[in-house]
Amino acid sequence: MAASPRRVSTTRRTLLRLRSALLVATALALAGCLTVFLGVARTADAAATRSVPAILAVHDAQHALRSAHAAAVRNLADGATVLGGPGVEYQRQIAGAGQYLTLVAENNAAGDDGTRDIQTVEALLVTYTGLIGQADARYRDASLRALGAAALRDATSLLDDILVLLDALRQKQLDVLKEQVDAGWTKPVTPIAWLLPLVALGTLLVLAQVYLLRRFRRVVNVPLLLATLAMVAMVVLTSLSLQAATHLDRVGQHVESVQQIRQQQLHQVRAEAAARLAVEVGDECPRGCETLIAALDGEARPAAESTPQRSPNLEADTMAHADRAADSRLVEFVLPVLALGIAVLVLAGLQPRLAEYGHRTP
Amino acid sequence: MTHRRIALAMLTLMLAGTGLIGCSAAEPAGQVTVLGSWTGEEEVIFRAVLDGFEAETGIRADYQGHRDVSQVLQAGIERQRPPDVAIVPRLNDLQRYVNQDALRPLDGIAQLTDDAGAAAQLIRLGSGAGPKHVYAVAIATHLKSVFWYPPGRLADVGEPPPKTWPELLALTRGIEARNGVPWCLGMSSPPVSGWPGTDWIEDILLHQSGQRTYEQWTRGELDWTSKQVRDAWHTWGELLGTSATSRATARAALFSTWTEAGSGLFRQESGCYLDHQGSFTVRHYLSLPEVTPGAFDFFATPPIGQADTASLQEVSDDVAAMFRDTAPARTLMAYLASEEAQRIWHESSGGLYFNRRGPVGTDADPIIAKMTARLGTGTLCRDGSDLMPAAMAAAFERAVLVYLEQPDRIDALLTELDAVSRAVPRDEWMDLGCDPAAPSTE
Repeated sequence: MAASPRRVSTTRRTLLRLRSALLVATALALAGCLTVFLGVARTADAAATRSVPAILAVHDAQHALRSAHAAAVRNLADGATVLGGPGVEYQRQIAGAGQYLTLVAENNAAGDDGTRDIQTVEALLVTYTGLIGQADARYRDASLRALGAAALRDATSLLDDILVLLDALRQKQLDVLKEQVDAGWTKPVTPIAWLLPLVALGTLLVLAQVYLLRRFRRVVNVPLLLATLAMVAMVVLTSLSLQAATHLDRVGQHVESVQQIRQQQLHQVRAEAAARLAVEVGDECPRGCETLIAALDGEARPAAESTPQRSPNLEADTMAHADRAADSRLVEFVLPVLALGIAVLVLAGLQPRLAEYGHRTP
Repeated sequence: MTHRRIALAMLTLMLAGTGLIGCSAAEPAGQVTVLGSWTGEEEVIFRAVLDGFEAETGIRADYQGHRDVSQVLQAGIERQRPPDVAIVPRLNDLQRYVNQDALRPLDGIAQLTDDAGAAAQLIRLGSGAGPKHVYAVAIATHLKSVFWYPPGRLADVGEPPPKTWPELLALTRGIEARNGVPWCLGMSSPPVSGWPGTDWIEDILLHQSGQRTYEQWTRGELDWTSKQVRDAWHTWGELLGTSATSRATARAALFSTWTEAGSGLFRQESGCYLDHQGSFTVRHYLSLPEVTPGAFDFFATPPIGQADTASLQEVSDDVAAMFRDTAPARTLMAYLASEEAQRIWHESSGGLYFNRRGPVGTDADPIIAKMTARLGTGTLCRDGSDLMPAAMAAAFERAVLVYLEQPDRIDALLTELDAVSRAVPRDEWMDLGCDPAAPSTE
């Protein structure tokens, strides 16, 4: 004789389904929250620790190189034959440019492409300093002063090439930053990925309260109420990722402002060097160099914009926003604890009712 | 159990949906990095060849162009991150890399070595007394024993193009006598300023003392203070002249690039009349808005003195070599030497592409056809400074600049050049010299 199937009460089945649904919703909510939060945090961290420092270091390297060149032109053209030379300021700025390039290499966010550009810039920098060395050697022979000025002109032309390469390198880092700012994690629709499971979880918790109220005449189930509060805490904590996205947006805007100011500064230093070189070429090549002198005079004209100010506050703000965007405040550890708490509270909240209906028939 | 499975599946789907990023479309069949000296318009032309390569092989070719390709290449090799393939304008760079075992031989690339048409392009090198291997392929060749002039402007001053060296000398003096500027002279070309002047000395030495002396000199076996080399410098100095106009031209040459100087051919006011420059200058001429068809022509460097040197021509090559032996790099090396690549090159450059393989198309432009014909006849001698070790070539370039500024220092300069020559290790010199031109197939 076959055993008759065990009969389960409808209430117990409903409670079991409710418990399973709540646990699944909790797991989904945790997965959604963690994925989005970690995605935003990782993106923000990459921007704060790599892209933004790399972009600022490229600017610093460009400024150091232009300043070094202006110092070399000034000192060689005005300096004494025996005791002259490109000068201490030139040496200091060239050393600084080397350090900034090392910083770019350490923080390079543009992958192999960026590494190759840095390698190329470093190689050309060796050639550039060689040309300044040649100019120095020729300026020390009074009868070869024209050759010294010609070497300075050559160095200027090579430096322009190096600066163009650095522009391209900075653009690659900017492109990466733009990708980071515009990444999926920071899009307005991203909250759907974590908010929907949380809303579903919240709805299920409310439905569970209503069901228990109607079926068992309990005013409130305290563990489920606490689970609902924990769910609200998850909403609040995960919404911090939106704040990080806002900080990232500001980083993008600030970097653009820094860029404009730095371009003006570069123009000013370049104009200073061009003006001095134009005078030097005019002195050494009075016939046949009119086109070159006119071109140098063109470069020496001041920019239409007002004199740029150094922008330490803007750069500090940029880094501060990047750091704030990258600061996760340990939320990635709190979220799983909260989700675990919700799961335990759901089990604790439904267990007495399940125990009550464990042996009843409908 | 069912609930657990559903939960697990949903979790997996969700993680998969949020964690994965869509993969890109078709992956290339491989990648090859290429370093060269072509930038700007020349880079655009070369990229057309690389586009053809990518379309034919599915391999992605990543090109980087820099004017100081030697320095960038050296830095890459020192950091053990060389490009797969590099196109270098200085042949001697390759000898140094063969000596350092940084260059990969091409003997095993059957597509390349079995192509009879490519034979004239292959460059065999060896380290010391060891066997020679194919290490490089000349993919573009430039004619350097030429003088460019504007026929209309020259006719205006009543001078025909010269056929002999004395006629060239007389033409120069005649233009000076009319208060004109005979020579378009530009030496600035950082980081190798002075090379246009080294071309002058090489061309004069070749046409004054002949092939044997020229080859001896490029091998480092002829002193700079020898009569032949000294005569070449003096002949150049004599041609440039010592008048106030000549001195001003020489001084301005230090500050002018060869393109800036060459533009003077087409300036009515204060323009120049003669430009000693390689065939690549035609691209520059044609880029100038004032240049119309027939605005320029050329004559070959005439023999100097009694030597029978009319069939000798100085040329320079852009040479491709492989630094990382990968399958995509081998495929690219074979492709660059192929007729297909050279056809694309010819088309993308508007016919202004020449190579040792011979003509790859019909040239409607009479100047281009004339240049192609010149490259297909006589003996082609490689640019001497390209064959010299880097230290020697750099000293040569500097000597040219000092000579233009202070011609009376010639003795000291030649003595210093000999000192540099003696200091260079013997195995850094090359023995490539001259080859007969590939006969025209048309």
